[in-house]
Amino acid sequence: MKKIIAIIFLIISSTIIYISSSDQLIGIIVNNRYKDATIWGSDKYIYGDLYGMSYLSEFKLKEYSTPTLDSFNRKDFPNPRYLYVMHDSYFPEYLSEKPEYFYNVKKLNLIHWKNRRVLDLDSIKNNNSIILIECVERNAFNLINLKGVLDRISFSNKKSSNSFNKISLNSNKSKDMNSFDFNFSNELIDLKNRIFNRFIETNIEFLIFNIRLFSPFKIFKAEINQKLFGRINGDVYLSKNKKYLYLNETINKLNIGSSFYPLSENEIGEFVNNLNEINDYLLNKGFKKVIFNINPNPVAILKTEDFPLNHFVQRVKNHTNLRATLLDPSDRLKINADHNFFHSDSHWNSNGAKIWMTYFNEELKKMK
Amino acid sequence: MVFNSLHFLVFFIFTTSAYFLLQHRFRWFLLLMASCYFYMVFVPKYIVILGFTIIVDYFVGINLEKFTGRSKKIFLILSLIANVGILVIFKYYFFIDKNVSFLGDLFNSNWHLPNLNILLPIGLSFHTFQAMSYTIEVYRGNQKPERNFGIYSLYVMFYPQLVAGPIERPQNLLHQFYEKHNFDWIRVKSGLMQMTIGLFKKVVIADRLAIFVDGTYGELPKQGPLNLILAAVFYSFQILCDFSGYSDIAIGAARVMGFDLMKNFNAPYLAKSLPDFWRRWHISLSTWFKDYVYFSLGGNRVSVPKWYFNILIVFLLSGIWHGASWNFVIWGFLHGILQIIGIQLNRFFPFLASYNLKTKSLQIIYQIWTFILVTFTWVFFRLYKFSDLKIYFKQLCQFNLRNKFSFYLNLNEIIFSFGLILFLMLAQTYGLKDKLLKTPFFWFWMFLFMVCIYFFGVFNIKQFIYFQF
Repeated sequence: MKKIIAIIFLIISSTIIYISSSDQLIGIIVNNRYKDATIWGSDKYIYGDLYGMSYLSEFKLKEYSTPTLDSFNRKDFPNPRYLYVMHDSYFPEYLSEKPEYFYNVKKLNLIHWKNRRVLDLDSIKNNNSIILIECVERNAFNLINLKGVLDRISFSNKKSSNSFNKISLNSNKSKDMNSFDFNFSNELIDLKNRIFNRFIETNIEFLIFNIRLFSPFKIFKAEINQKLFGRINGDVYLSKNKKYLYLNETINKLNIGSSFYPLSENEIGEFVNNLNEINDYLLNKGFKKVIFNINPNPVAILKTEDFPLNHFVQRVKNHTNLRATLLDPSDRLKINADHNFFHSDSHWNSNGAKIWMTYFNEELKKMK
Repeated sequence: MVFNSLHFLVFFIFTTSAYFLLQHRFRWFLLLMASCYFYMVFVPKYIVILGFTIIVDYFVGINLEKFTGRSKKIFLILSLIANVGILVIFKYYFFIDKNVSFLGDLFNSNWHLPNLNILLPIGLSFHTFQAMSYTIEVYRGNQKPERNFGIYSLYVMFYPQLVAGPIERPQNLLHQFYEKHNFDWIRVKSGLMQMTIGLFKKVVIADRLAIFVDGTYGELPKQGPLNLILAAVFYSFQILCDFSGYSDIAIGAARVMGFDLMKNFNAPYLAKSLPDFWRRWHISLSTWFKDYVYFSLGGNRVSVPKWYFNILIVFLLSGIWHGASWNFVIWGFLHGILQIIGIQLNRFFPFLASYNLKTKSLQIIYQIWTFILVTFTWVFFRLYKFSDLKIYFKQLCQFNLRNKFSFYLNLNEIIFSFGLILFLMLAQTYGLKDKLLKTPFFWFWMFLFMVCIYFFGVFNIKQFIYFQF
């Protein structure tokens, strides 16, 4: 009997480790769980990513909808472009096969910050290509530098019907930051990253506990801690007016990605240099235009907190040394700001996405 | 991987199940592979460093038996150089560089060591000391060298105690890898209970107190005396629960599989004197220094000044072992000085000695006084920068009513924290764990602990404090 129990435990634990080590398998499970409306499905992100972290019952709000966007008639464009977009979860990825929603764009090539792509140089030079590098304010310092870009895209002259190959970022060799960097093949590195998956803890947590069956316990736990101790999940911050949840890293003044981190002129200057460096590099590779877009943290727009803002994006945009094109949708998002962001999610809502699309298309129209 | 993670839970279930299913002769191999995986989860390539010290010490051990006299000494020195050398490079290099640069500034020169872009491998201070205890014991003739390379590797790498102790002795651990451990339900229950209690201490008590401590010490100039005193007291219990919690999980995990690791904590805040405290706190490290440094220097069988010098050396080394920073040296120095003062007082006023206490109330007074002394020294342990120490003591002396109490925990949680501390002290005083094991409601108590851990645990995957050493 003890042996049978041990075998059962062995099979279950090894299955959990195997599945959790595979981003592919986890991805399949995630998709199936979100489609499943029974107690075995997951509601972690249905009500917002911040709800899924905090489980505060008053923020269990279903706010998602797809924005209605204006499309363009491609026949009106004499010289359509290829638009490459290095993006995060703010960018409407559902438009990846719909270039008609972008002004004068023939084809859309998306590169998420967590992936890596090999881009075809000839294709870039021949196709009137422009590149948009987009990310949210809280990640800008970490991601937007030449190394960050080169970690995610490389170039080759090989002509193929597919102008880019998607490789998971896990196969990047140059991740570890110290002198003992051994030169192993990509296959070995992929195997290493599979066995020692960086996200295994969150994958295990999702696999075992992210089902609706456990949601009442999570909500109860969140309530006890909030009512008794006034505390919520450490990664989440409740706004002063109790209407919004924010990511704590966008509030914490010690974090450089926070809208309240006291950014010095040196730090701004260094960031501007990064933008210029990336701009020059990519123009050299054949892009006709390089556009940067930094979406402000929601707290910087909603202004629910009393702390002094660092006005990061505006200071970069107005910096005298900036040679690159930087888009800042802040002013537009501030109009009826309450209507542009989710209450329990760290992103803008469909209104906010639509405002940004309109703004971006206006900028695309200005380009020759 | 950290003990307070789901990854460890699943890993532990897998390893333990496989352990009991396998035949005895293959078990050491499973544990070795599991330990390699456990270590490599942190930074895979640093297993090379561990491998280097294992290979050196394995061959040193074998040759220590073959040779005598001067050659034997040379082999021992080789092992000590390899282990201490690794420590110096990976742990103390930047500290040495900083101080060389500081000296250079005094002489208006630009002195720097070559730049090395390296990180501190996890558990380095622990496994190097465990490896050195092996070679020293073989040298002394107290332990036969281990000829099976795999078993020796497992001795150094045994996953429950690999990254934060207890620092084991070969006489205690090595032979256990040869013994067949059958599934023993009483031992398994004891191990699981100890693991659960350890996790409770870590995530319910230590990580909760850490919120107040980190908040207070993160904004020192704003704090009043009450905050600072409370933060110091909370830190004393935070570090106790954090470290002893880790040791409990390590010892419990090993016990489930049939291994007995040494006890590392014995209710240290019930100590009646500083020497008593050090017999109860991080026992594996304090006995290591006692057996291999203090006694080697002559212990107390020397003149009184030399004796005091030996005490100071041991505590200075203990301080520097904890971290490459002057605050740890000061912490160690303080403990050494306080011990010497205590010895002197006992010599001139023997009625004051803690072993002479006649009444219970006197014992309690001594326990409180020892706790105050230890808490005072923990301030130096926690505050890394001299500037922070200056601000701390300056704010402590300011009885300014404008300095309001800063609530990093609300009143309910502060009361709850005191309740947890009281529970901890009572549990240690009355041996709660042993009582729970004997009750017929074992699974009920386990369930209750797990419920408390789930609902009241602070789960920000805060690293164990001693991981940084």
